[in-house]
Amino acid sequence: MPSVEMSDTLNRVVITGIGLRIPGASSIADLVNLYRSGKRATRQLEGALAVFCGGVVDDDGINNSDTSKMDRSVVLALAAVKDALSQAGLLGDTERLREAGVYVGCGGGGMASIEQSIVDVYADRPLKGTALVKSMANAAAAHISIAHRCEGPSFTYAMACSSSAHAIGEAMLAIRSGRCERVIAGGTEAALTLSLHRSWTALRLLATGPDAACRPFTYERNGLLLAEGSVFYVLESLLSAQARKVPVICEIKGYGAKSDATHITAPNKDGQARTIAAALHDSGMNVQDIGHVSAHGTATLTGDPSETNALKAVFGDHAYKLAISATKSFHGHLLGGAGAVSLLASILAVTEGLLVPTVNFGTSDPELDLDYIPNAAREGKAVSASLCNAFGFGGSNASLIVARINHP
Amino acid sequence: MSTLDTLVELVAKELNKTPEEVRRATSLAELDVDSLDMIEVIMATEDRLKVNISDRALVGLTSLEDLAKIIDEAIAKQTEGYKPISDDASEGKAPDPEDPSHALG
Repeated sequence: MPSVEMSDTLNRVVITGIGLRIPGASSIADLVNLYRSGKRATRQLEGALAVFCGGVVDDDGINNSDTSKMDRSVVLALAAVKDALSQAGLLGDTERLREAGVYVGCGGGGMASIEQSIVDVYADRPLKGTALVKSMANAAAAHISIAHRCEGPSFTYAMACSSSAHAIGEAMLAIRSGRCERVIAGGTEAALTLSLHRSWTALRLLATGPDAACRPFTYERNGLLLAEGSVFYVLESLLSAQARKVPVICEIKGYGAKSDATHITAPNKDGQARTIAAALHDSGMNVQDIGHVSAHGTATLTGDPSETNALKAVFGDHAYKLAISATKSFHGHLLGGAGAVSLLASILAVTEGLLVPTVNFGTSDPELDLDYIPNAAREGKAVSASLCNAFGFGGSNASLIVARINHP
Repeated sequence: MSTLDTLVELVAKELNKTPEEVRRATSLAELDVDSLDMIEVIMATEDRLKVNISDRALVGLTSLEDLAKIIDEAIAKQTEGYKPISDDASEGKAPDPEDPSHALG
């Protein structure tokens, strides 16, 4: 545990548990292996989706789960939360979890369940009594609260692709303010549906074809791939972690939340820069303190330049010293869950010195001239703080900053 | 029917305007074409003319006349024996993040 004065620990928020079910990894050990391999986890989808590629969670426990009463997005969330609580030493600790908050980021709720209901209606089949509760956007938060008897605030944030980053940031604020001592926070999404794929295709933002890959920050980038999955964290006050004598993974130092207020889909570098600057200000750190960025990096024609220019606007010359990871190149885009996934790379940078590569990297784009860690991971890098970006349709942006805790 | 005529028809339908109103406008901005409207026009054009239009080629687009040229080039490229008619590397043009005419993502 860090040796810090009591006064220094006030309002500090740390992560003590992580759980995940994402394409290519169901544990941190899996994730490190995947990132070291440099091989993407996305692949050609099956059945009616076979003309698309995307990110699927391969986990027998998940795939054999009973989904008659809950959507797959909830099943994924419950599995990730259980692991996070286990690592934090809180699984089954009903006393300490009683006042815990549950903050969930999720773009659309039970999207597959909603689609199935519509198919059933137009096929003139009766709907089941579970149709509504499987579709609710707050179903994951509710089921997590019920499963672990968390009686604190149970919130669902829906800001498209920045949802889970906002959930984590708002959870940090809740702990800082004293509203909660600990919060289960993260994101989940399981939107591998035909209507969603066709909607993204209609926006010309989906990489298409049976060999499609997500190629952020390269000249060949031609859109994103949809993915399912869930990542959850246990956040608590440093005081609480110290009192429980549990290992601290890292500290969440800063959170910025801003709106572009310009366009329903187009990214805006000024709004993104304001968001990053707000997170930096909140962290009390200087630009030189940040050594790594886990980018939003969706591999769209205009999104990647916008984020690159936002980083340059905030960091100036230091932008060229930043190592930048785009994890969507491995997993695809978890939409509402994406920010929680990106935060994993930030955490690996500050805890392990592992800089996650941007894979599927082809030709450099002259407009994109920062260090995107092309194709191969870097090891043993001393990064004390990392920025994580998540930018949502509608112009809702979130940036988080995590920092290494120096253990004595 | 020329490519421009087809575009005028498609844009008029998409924006709920008359073809005359579309022809009178000197720029896409004057027509108040949003990037989302533009996507619908491009998709309809691709479908009607059986052509694939590169998104990169559309960056910085300001007029229907320019779009017609891009489409004619794309049609020519799909035709056997195509030879580039100019050195204008519009397809290789780097995206301009400031450009709102085709800004998504």
